[in-house]
Amino acid sequence: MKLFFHNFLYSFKILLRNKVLVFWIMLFPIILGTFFYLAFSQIEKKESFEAFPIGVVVKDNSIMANYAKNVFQELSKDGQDKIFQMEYMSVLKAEEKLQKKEIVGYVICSSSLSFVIGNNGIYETILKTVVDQVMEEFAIYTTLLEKNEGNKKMDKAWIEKTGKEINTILQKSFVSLIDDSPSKLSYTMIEFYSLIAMTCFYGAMLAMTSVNKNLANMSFVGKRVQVSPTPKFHLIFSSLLASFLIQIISLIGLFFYTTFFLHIHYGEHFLWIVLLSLFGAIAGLSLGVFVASVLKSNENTKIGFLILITMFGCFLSGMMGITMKYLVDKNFPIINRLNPLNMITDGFYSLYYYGVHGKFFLNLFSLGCFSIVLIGISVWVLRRQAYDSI
Amino acid sequence: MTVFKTYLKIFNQYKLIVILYTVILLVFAIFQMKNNENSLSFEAEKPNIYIDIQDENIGLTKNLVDYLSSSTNVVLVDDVSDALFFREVHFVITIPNSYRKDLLSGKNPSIHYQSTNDYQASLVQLLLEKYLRIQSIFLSSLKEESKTILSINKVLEQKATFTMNTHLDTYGLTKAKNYYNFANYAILAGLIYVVCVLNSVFRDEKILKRTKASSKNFKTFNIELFLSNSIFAILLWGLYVLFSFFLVGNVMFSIHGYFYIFNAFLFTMVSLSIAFFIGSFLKNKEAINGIVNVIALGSSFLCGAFVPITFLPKSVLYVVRIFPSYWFIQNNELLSTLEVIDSSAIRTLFFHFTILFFFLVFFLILTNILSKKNLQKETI
Amino acid sequence: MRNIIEVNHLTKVYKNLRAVNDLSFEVKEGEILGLLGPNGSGKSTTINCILSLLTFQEGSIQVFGKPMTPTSYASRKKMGVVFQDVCVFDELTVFDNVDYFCGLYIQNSAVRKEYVEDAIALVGLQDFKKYTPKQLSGGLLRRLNIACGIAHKPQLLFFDEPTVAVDPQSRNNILEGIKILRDMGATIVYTSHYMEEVEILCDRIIILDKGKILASGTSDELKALAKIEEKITVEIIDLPKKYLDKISHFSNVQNVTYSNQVLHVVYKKGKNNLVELIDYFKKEKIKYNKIFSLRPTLNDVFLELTGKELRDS
Repeated sequence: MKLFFHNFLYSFKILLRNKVLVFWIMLFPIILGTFFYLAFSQIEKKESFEAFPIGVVVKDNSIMANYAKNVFQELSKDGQDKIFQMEYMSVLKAEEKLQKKEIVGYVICSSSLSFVIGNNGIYETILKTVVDQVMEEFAIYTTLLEKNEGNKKMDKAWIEKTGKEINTILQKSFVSLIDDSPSKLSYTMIEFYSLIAMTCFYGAMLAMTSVNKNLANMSFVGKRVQVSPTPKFHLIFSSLLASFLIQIISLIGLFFYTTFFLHIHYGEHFLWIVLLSLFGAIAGLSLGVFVASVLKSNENTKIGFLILITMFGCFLSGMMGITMKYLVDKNFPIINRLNPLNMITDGFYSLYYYGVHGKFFLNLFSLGCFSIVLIGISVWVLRRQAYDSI
Repeated sequence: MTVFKTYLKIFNQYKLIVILYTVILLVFAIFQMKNNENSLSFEAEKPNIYIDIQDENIGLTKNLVDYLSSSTNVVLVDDVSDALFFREVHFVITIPNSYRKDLLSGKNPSIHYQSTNDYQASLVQLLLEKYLRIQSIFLSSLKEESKTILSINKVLEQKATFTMNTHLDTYGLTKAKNYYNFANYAILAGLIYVVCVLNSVFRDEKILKRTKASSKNFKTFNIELFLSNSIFAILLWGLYVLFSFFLVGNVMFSIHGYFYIFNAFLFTMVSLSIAFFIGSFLKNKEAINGIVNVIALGSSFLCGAFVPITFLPKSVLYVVRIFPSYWFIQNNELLSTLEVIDSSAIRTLFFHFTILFFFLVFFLILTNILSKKNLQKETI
Repeated sequence: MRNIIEVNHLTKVYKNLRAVNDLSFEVKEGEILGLLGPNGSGKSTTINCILSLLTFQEGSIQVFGKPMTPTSYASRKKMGVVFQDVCVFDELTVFDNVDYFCGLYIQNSAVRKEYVEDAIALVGLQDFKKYTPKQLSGGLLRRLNIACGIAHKPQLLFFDEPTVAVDPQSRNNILEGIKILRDMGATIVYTSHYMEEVEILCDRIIILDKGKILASGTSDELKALAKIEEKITVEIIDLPKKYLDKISHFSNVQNVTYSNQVLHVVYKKGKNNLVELIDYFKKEKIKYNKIFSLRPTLNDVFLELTGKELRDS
């Protein structure tokens, strides 16, 4: 037991003094998380509305033109319904401003409406929707006028009167729209979930380093260690425990930083989150053990390999753009079912979006299987005590 | 010459890893572009929605569905919840089974919806509310289903005529913009990685000691090394441009395209000077990967290479002006919206080019100052 | 003969260590100057200061009659260095390594090729031209290190402990090579903590300790400083104390010790000391086994000057 603790303590020290490892597992996730935060913090907020500049050209004094003028003025008033920052101008001026991108487009009001835009984007689409709607509203009056045999003349007074009638109708008979939207729709959470997955799997580098340290065919230190009168698995196990501890510490650090500094809310299932993180950390660890014991190459190549696997797994589980995860989930589900990084990301996503649910347990189960298979193979390989070549 | 020849020999030693890294970056660029094409771009005029029709699809129900189908993109998905979360659909409408019957019998039915609460969803909601309003008005005054449908459709036929005052190939230019914005990551990461790996051989403490003790002027040495490195830089840039001809297409052969290419070239040289600067003091080969990721990912995320620039917080955009990436991406963004490249546009473009050029000179001078300072040290 | 290097009052202080303390010396054209001293005595620091790789606090250094600065390229062109550590590219072959470093001095590729071949031949690496440093043994690697330093045929050469941890065969090869270079007219500064090497190789020797010059001169001049003529060692099974006292009062004897059946007699001066001692043994019928006399070594000089052995410090 004393020896176990002795080896544990020294493994812990050795790993923590390895600057490269500490950078990847402790610092890099936090730096990347900060980038995500800065880049994505506005993305969902900005998707809500911002009033944009348009020009209004009034050609004549028709009822339609006056009606439209009123609507645009109404929609440019400060308040909740503000869509536009409108300005009356001549066609010439409007054309010039459009050219300079000072306005999104301009509307020409006469007995019918037309508009000119300079591009094809979301603002233009909104402008088009509003202009169409003005035409449609006006058409309602025209249609109602046709039905109304008493009065055949469209004037301001008639419009006002009919407007009131329409309001009474709408108060009595309507189709109610009921909002069933899920409360948790923040897709940038996926980025942070994949960040946690990445941290878990960078732990593989720790595990690999601490196993290598005990293997004669992997390092000089290993040679020295193996001639000592201590059982190999005893040493490996205590070294792994040290690397696991560092993994846990860095995960706690990441959770702490993202929660308190970046204000990420991971949801209310705290214990399940902890459980999933532990499973993830063990999966990362087992990949490290596997690579250390099964792959035959030098340490740098192994680290490169681990970084590559981790980054590719993160890529598929949506770190560089969440659509990637959705596309793979939808079109090649088997890939992401086998991708351990996606198991972690998807587990968090399920917990966040669906709550404690079958999907979550499937991911937990997959992670367990992944770890057991890799550790099983590693133990089988490591049981050979002597080597053909060192 | 001796530096250049030796550089080539060392390059040869590392060619496998250099090629691998370059290929990975290019694959990333292609992925990223394909990915951008079908998501997150506002250019999709019609938002995707999903309609769950529980009612018999006839009469007023059918008319509503038809209207939505014509003004939005109705898609079929397996898992509506997932599709909503990942924004494949922005709006989900459930039409209850007694919808039509309730309407005709004067009851007020209700429609449940789920929305992603963004531009696209608001647009759908606007359209839906408008339709339902028109429907209520005509139904209560006309009472009869077929007449109501007729009147609704007549009103909805009203469309303002519009002219799109542009001859721009918006689609192609946006593609070019996305592709060249990603160059910020690909070229920066590729150059820093490769230059640092190759230069760390020359800048190895012991070998550098010998170089410093030689009669080679440190400035000549730096220039020769920089020029040697620029061979790889130009190769990488050329490869990137070559791919753009295939991936982006026609736009690349227009004046816009030439500006994209030149902009990328200038940025490549700036990246090279940054890589060269970092390589001149970075001693630990293992640290290279970390530096690459922090600088390339950082500038890409914060300057708008990955995330559309309109989504970035204003404060961030203000601060990142100190990065060359910002000016490079500003140029790409500007080029994608320019109708004609007139004198005022050229003035802005060249202003940004000048800033990039200053960055290039700045980093080269910095490297020389650092080298000079390092000629003689306190301790070895 | 003119001075190639002049060092005046050089002082170099690291954080809390005075590595070189008010050091002044010169190196004359065509000589091999040895800097001898234990580890940490300031030899490498001195050389690095002369090469302008290190800053220093006080003093001045002139090489080829001009003050030495980091950008004294004209002077650097005529200088060559062989560092203590092996400074070569792991990525390049033996030939390419020598060619690269030579290329930093010599532009003409035809001349350079010849020089590189010469250097490789001088250190005896002809059979290893296509090898990379990783394939070379420690001794061969050292030779490559030397070839890289001397290929451009410099007039002034620095060897900073080139023989540390080198097998005897390579060491001889290296020392022979240095002699050849001297014969070709190069001025050489050689540092080592092996006194035997310095003794056979160097025309003039400076003994350093704790950053200061303890003594300088030719090997013989230095040995005179040891203030002893010879040391006679005798194996005697039993030597009663009275004889010991007697011997210690011989006219030239400085010191006598007897322990573990070995008698050490140190003579300050005089000739025929050994004869005198043997005669005495005969007279007193003392039986002895092995007897031999040793001239003083640089170690004795060092011992005399510092009270400690060169080797243990």
